[in-house]
Amino acid sequence: MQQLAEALTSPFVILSAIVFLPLLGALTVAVAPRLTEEETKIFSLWITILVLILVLWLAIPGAVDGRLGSLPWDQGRVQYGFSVGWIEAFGVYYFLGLDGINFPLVLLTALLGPLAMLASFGIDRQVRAYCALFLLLHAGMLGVFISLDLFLFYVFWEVVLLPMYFLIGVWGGPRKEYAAIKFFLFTLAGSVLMLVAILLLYFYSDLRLLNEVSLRACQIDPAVLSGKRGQAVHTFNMLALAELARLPQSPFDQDFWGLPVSVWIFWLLMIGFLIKLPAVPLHTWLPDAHVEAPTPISMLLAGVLLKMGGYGILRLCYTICPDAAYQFAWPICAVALVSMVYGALAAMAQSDFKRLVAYSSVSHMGYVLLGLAAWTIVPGDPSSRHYWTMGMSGAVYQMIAHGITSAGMFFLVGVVYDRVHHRDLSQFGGLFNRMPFYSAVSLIIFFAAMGLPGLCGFIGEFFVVVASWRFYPGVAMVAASVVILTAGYILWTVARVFFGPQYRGPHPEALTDMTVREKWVAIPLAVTAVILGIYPKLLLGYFQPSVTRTVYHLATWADRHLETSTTATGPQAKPLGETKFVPSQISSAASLSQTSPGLAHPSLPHGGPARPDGSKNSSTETDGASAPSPLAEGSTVTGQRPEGVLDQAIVRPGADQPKGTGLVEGRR
Amino acid sequence: MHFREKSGSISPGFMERLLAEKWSTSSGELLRWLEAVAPEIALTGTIVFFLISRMLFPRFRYGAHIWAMAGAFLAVALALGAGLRPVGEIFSGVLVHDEFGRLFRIFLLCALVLFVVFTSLSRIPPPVVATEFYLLVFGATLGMCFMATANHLVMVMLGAEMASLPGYALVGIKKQDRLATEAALKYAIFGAATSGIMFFGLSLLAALTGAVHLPTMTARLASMGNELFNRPAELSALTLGLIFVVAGLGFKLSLVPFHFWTPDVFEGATAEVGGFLSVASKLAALALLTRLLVAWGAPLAQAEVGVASDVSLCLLATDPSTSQGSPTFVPLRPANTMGNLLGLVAALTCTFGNLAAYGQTNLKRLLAYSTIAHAGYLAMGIGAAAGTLPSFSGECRQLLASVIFYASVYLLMNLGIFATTAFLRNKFGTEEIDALAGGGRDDPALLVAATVFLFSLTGLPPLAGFMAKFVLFAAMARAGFWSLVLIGVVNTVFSLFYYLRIVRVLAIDEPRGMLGSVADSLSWAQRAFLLGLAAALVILGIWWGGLFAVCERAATSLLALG
Repeated sequence: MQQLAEALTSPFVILSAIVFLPLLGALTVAVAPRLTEEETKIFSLWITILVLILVLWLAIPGAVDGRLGSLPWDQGRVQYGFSVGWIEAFGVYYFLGLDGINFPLVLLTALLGPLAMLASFGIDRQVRAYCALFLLLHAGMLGVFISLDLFLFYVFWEVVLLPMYFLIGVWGGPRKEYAAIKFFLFTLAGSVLMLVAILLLYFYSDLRLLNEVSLRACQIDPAVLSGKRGQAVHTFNMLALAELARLPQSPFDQDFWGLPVSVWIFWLLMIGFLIKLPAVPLHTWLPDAHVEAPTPISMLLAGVLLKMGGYGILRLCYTICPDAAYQFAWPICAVALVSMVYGALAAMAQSDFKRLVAYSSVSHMGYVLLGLAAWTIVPGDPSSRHYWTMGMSGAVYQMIAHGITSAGMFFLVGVVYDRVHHRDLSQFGGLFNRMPFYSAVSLIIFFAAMGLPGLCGFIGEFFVVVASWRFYPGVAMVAASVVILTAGYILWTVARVFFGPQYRGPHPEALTDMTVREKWVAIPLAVTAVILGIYPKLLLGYFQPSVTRTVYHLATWADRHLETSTTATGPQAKPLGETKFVPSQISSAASLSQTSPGLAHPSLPHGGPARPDGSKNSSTETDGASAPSPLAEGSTVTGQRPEGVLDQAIVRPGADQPKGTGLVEGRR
Repeated sequence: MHFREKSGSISPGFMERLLAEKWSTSSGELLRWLEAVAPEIALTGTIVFFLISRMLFPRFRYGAHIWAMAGAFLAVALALGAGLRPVGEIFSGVLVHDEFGRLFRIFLLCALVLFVVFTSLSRIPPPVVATEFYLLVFGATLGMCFMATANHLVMVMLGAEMASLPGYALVGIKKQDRLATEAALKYAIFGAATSGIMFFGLSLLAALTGAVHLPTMTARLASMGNELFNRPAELSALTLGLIFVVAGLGFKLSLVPFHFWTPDVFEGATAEVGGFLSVASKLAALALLTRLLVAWGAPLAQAEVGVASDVSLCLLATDPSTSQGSPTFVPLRPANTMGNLLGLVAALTCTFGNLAAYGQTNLKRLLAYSTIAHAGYLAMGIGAAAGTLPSFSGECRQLLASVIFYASVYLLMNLGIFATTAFLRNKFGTEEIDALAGGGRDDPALLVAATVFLFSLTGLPPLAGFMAKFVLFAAMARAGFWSLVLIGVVNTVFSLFYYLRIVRVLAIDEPRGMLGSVADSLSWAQRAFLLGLAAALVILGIWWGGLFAVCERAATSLLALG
């Protein structure tokens, strides 16, 4: 019995169930002959609820590692995952895992799934096909976030496209065909570039460069190295690729067509992710797709699909290509700023309610990009990394917050559209009297999107703006002023729709308040928006250690590679004196976030030991051998290698370097 | 039997010994040979049966597809039973049964089985000509099997002609149809001309080496070595011979300068025949081209030409892994140059096919261009393989394996989409894309299957088409052909648009008025056939490791000859 329970709660079962339950549901819906339309919808809803329950179970403190009261992923690493062979000849593994970076997004996806399904109850055409495709989409989205094998990631990434094409193309608005094919073409163009990058990563990776400890940490059986003498062992393992990129002599520093291969990888991946995010010159698919898609699909499109871009940037671009991230921090930040400003201005100019919400997504996702891209690390200045930790945390928080608010806004627009069948802002007005409950919920969600303190949108934006000040004050000023633009279009919209003169459009008699079903969708979103706004630690606790760890690794890289070029061109390396007032802002942020770990550190004496923020938690680790603290691990590469174990089979590019360099530098 | 010589020195009495050895065949050996060609014998037996059946049973024609199915199943069962176990050269060296040849024979016979099942479901051929139709199909398949296992120039010529001639007649099987007749004539004329060119090339190479047996030719070329390139006459004979042979097979593969017959022929022929030509005949031509390139390219790959500084010909092959700083070029070797040229032609073919497909209004014509594009992907792989020939292990093997794998996946998905076309034609009586608007809406099975075929042809995961493209691009990347990879992925995006257009027309567009009037819904067997192929593509997209391992072994066996 005990064994059965253990087997059922093993990562293999739980994670596979999260991904494949919707898939099985889709198959069932597709072939089950005797389900009525209503039953099909209810069945699909239960599938998505089941997935949500599984994910929520993982979020319970102690559920993952059995340590009572401990939040999952407090070590910032993949603690819950498994890897089994898929196509071993190519080094492709069925590797699913959760850490702090993907768990919030999985949670978001699992939460929006049932809500969007509930919102789909209004669909009345070809219901079985709709539900099957919806569940397929759900499986694909969860798979993208959970899979840690690059090949598997790519497969899921593309799996999302197919149902999305049909969901927009069949059930969409008047220009659905154009929107669907544009969405498909843009994303595919980005993803084939990603495919080239993936091939580059694969062929330049070599697992022989990693020691046994790192291999095990990446869930790779060191036995894969045996019997491959003299031949490189390539990998698709995302964690291993990141480990390789952290080596003192990364295999991705090699030359390829005149540039380091990591620069190629960075841009090829980045373009794919920027299309998905979307960032401004590549965003044009978004307004069309969002506007034409049916309401529940718009919710998922804005709520989840856009996050795939942000997730990819964080998980791949910045962990695997730190040198390119450093080198191109300015261009990426510029793209982010342009997205923010352009999106906000474009939103202001819309008269279509849904289009306005779509452009607000462009603007809001710009914050995500800015938070990720604002490189604040100055080599040798341990305090500098806290700002980036903050920026990245802000980016992740913004992704979740935007997932909640944009899904909410699209749903709310859908509610009035269902009633009056148009979305012309100029005809709305006075809805507060006709639909009081609807208006109250709308105000919460719209204000959350605006970034009103106390609601979820504020936290992420604030962190990002503060962190970008450290990058360059001008950037922060522009970013902060976008908040005003956002307030402008949101308040204007609220004024036009909910207050103001009477409703002037067609079907005024249909403007009745929300039905029970609609309330079941809107209330959870509004409640989440409030909770995340007043108690951010609830979410920060899950991803903070992972983000801290990511930044720590980037800082280690910077310490190793940038010390000679501190004064050279590149991102702003302001001495701390110029940003004296920042600590006070930080402390206010910290109080807001209930002194979450990683934000209380500016009080550390400068020049103190470069302990990563996560080390506090790492010290509680019981299994020190297989999981060294981040600091130790960052320097294990040369310092703690068990000499003679693997060295015979290893041809290290850095072999000529004196041993222990990394260790010394890491502690400097 | 062992007259393959690794180095190249041929002893004076070699041919005499060879002949003496050949004629001293024991009856046991003969039995072994006959056993090896049992599937071909089954095909021949079916052909003979068809020939005499018209005489013996005049009313027999109505059951033709049953007999065809029996013959095809018998042949494929025999081929599968014989397995991939290499037998070596048989019939005194005119055929070679290595794993490569046997694998392609299995592919071809599987294509035959699927084709016979498909045609018996689609009501083309009409019963009046069914016997003749299957006779031609079986004859062509027999020739293709010989193409895949040919080891001797006579068998190369025989196989190529046996495969082509029935094809000309098959295209014109609807003899009242003006388009079909025109297509048949066009196909026959161009086919005859390019066959002539190919045979001229073969004779030049035979004259150069003084041999017609492929391994002997390999050995002779190897023994000539670098010396060959100092003699202008021999060099030009070699160059012309190679170009002519590649041109002849390029016609069958519809590579770019020799592609123009494809759309016309596919539009004129029925969708069934189009499917057969685009699958079986492409596979056979591919097998033969690969075998010839390896046989002739491998010895040439060892030789290096003095003018290695001329890098303009090997721009496609940069090898970044060995370079630090500036990219270096692989030294110019004739075989590599040939491979690079083929890669260039393939890249053009692929791009042209994908771009030209945009403007098509006829479904079969569009699929013809899609066939051209896929031939381009396949030829890219072969070109890259020829470009990396000197290293027998690793890169070249993986390239060949990925080409074989791609071919096997292509077989399923292309036959699937042609079957969909045929069933749609039966249902709606049209093959114009716009006229099919909404055609899949009332038939989820057809729609799901068509979507799977089209997305697999585009190369979207998790379908087998993606895995095929992936291993191909990965192999090209590994060998350093990044520019081909780039061209390949860009082409994938190009191709999405027109494949998606078919999906859109079938699934999303509003039906136009008269569509329902001739509607004649698909039988369950037709749906099962389509869904079966689609399921195979999904399953193969998830568990493709096994098939790829088989392809890898086949590639190894082919390269072992060099």
